[in-house]
Amino acid sequence: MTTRKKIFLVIILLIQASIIWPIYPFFSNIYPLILGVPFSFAWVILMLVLSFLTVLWYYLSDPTLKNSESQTS
Amino acid sequence: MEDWIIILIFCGLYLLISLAMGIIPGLKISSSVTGFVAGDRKMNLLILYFVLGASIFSSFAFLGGPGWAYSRGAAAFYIIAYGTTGMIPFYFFGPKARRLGEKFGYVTQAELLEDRYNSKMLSVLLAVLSVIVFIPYLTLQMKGAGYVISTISEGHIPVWLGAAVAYGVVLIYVFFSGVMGVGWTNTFQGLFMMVIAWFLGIYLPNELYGGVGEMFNQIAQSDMSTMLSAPGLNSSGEPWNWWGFSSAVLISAIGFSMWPHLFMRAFAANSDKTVKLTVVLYPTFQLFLVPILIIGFSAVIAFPGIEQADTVVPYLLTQIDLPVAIVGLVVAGTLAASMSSGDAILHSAASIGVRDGIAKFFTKESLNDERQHRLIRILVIIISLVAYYFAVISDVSIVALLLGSYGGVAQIFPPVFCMFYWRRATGKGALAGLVGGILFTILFLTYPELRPLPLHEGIWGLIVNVLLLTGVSLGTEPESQQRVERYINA
Repeated sequence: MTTRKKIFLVIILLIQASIIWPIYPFFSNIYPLILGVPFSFAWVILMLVLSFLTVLWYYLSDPTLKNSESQTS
Repeated sequence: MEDWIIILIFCGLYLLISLAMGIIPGLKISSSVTGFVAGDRKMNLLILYFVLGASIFSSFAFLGGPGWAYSRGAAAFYIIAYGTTGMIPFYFFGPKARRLGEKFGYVTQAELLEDRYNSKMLSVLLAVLSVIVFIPYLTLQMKGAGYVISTISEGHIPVWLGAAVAYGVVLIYVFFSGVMGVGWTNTFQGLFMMVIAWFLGIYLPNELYGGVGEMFNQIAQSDMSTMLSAPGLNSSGEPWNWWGFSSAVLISAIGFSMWPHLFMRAFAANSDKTVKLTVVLYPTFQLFLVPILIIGFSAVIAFPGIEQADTVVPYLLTQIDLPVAIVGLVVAGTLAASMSSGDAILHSAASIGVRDGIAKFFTKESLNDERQHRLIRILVIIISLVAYYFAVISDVSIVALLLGSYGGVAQIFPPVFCMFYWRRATGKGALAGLVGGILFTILFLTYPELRPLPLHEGIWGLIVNVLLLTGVSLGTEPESQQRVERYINA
């Protein structure tokens, strides 16, 4: 497994753990409101955005996409 | 003119556009099974993105999502949570499946599994399960569509007629254009419902409270404040526990990319890049659940005590003085949500039923491509009729069956994962795991008090599944080298 893939999987695993037990309970309060929404809600949205950025990075750094037709993932 | 007539005119216009968008692409598709089921493997990014996104957002998103937020508060965040990671496995499985499909002609998930595990049983089992899960799913979508039309027409249009008209349109374009009909209509329907959701999610809090922040402030200061701390409330209104929330998120995330009607779209994609980019962009679709949940929250203080939480959106529409054109658009948006899932499910149920079920009992000669194509179309009609029967005539409770479906679908994950990554996995192992996993899921769904810990029943199913898959695989002869390598190196 490449280092790139390892880093990717670790980040995704952290994000996964952040939206369930054991990490989410630390960020499950109502206050402070972030942009008008409860902190618990903003936290989940933040994780969604982080997940998007992580996959985007993984895609953009995909070596197989450098050649127009990819053969391996 | 009376308001409800104007609203129905909007719905009628929406249905006409859907019909046109559904039929036009069918003119360009070959009349082969690959054309009907996998769009001749020519789907581009735009269409694939909307097919995956809009198929997931069913009438559940427009009716159930706000209902959850309204009655269970933060528990509804689970719908956003599982989509955060749920699509990611598809980034890895999708391109592999696509390449194998192109090489060996697969168009369904079960065909892919069957060839790796050398097991016809596996394919038939998956076909039967898919159809069993898809029919109630379709029934719920039909009920949703009929219900919305009936409510908004003040009962002038009965539920059976509303459902018949909306799904008559779906039947026509699925029958005619297959997956490309699904693709083009979903693009239109998906865009449409996104716009509607954002509009309502911003408009309602402003109208009722003067802003989203003010709305949440008022909920936080009321005696309903506990609902806003994760993990929210359970179905009886008590604070939910972390076991339940976490395992529900986890099992749904695992099952997410395994839905047969989503997975098989990998075979329709025109390139690996398309599949990967679809996964990259998927969260932009998921984001539209934010306004959807806000719609539900907006009713908490303003309209307490709505008995059936799922009716919160139609309820709001009838209670708030909205311009009639907007009500019309919202109703059409709800129909779009229902139909964009209903069409994908109908198409997949028929395709899977024939390819993975019926066709296995015939030789290739007696059931050639042309006959299969015809048979799939016939099954499209039959499945529509069966689902319609359950939607309007029968009173069987189907919600329970559907609730268990995510636990069941997640059981497909281990064999799919091992197909690509574990050489030693065997057909007998996969079959044993799948059967064991599903049986345990059903057992704990029916008798939740038997669970050792209050985890989602699907998690228990998965544990049994993985144990059986590894145990039985190691105890049986490995599958042939050539067969296995093809998948490992895909």
